[in-house]
Amino acid sequence: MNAEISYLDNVDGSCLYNTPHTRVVASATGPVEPKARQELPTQLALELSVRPAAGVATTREVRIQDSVRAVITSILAAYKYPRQLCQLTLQVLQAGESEELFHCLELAACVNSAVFALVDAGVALTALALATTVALAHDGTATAEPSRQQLMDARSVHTVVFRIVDGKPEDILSMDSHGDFSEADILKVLDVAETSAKQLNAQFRETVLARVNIV
Amino acid sequence: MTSLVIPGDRISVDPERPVQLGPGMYCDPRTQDIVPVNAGVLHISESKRGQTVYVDYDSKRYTPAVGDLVVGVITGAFADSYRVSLASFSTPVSLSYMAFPNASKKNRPTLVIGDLVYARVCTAEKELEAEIECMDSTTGSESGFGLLENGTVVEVTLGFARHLLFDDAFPLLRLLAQHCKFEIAIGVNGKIWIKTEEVKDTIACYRSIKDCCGKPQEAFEEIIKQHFKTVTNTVEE
Repeated sequence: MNAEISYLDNVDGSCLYNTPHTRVVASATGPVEPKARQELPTQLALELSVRPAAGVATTREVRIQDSVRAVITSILAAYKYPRQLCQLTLQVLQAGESEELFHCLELAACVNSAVFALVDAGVALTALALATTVALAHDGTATAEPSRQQLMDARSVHTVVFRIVDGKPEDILSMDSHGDFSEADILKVLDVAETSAKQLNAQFRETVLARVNIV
Repeated sequence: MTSLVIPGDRISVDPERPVQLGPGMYCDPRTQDIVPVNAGVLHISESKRGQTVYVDYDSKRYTPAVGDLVVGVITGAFADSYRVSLASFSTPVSLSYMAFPNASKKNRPTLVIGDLVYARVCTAEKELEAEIECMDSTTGSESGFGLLENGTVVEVTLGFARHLLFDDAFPLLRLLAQHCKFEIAIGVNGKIWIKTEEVKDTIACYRSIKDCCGKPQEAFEEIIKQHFKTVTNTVEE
């Protein structure tokens, strides 16, 4: 994973998020004045849109959008900004997976890039959320951050989002699984995902530290 | 004590004594936990009344806080106040007609839409519209606030603007002063108004400030020299 923070000039926060397979540009603007219909009397409203790498957004993108929204809403310090709006736009540049079959790599990249962009924008977050994808092959081996081929050959694929508190994965914010799996498989997947999330968190810290040091 | 924090990190404060939270810190209304909500440098200091905790972080979007000196644009005029924009697309703030020196019911200020003002934030509640004033409300004097005529506005990041305004050792203004005469008003909302005698100097100052934002201090001298050289060598046609 590598992320280029403050990638765009005209938004409050942005990031270009790269994994070996997937690329996403995220932009965050906020807190700004909402339209009357978006306004919430006591908290920050979130406007989120996910745009696919090719073509127009379909129900598939709306599904990713809803999952990302659920995660982001739970880490925002929303009551700090009553009657304000935060806009998040996530543009997928490269899906890295067969779009008609999977959405797990994009979902993970969207969550991570959105968190980077929000941190860059200075929107208050009570914790971080980091997502990883794990593929479980037919022989039972679990691979974190799978490639396109590993996804195709997998028995099941899982995207797990952890809430990171004090530098450690504390609890699970979302888990999105497809395919055939048992309870034992899930536990194995969570184990692998947690290790991967710890690595991600270390890289995240490094990237943010580099940004703070520039100032 | 200073260290880097990112949102969600645990910080160590003495729970027995009162804690004052500054920018970048948040007290969760349900759990009463104190957490940093922005990524930046954590400052914990001891004051007479207890501990003060804040996070120094850089961002681009300004949220009003009491006592801040800001540069705003008049965007509307009502029966008893102006509407002022401190950052594009943010909720506007209000500037009462009575918040000017020597103001009275008869004596109205003469600002029009599009004018720039230098002002101080006097109330900033997150649930309410923030208010700014163009005078020192303790003495009632002008103290440098009010209309900013001519000149131009440079938009920079909030951290850079704070350095420029509060850090006396920051070299940028001294270096600019070696090249030209100028008047400057720095708002912590990231807007810097600058006025010089000649257009070419204004252009050079504008480009210099924009370029120095986000660069190390050692690079400032070369950047500024380069921009002034470019404008002096350009002949008007």
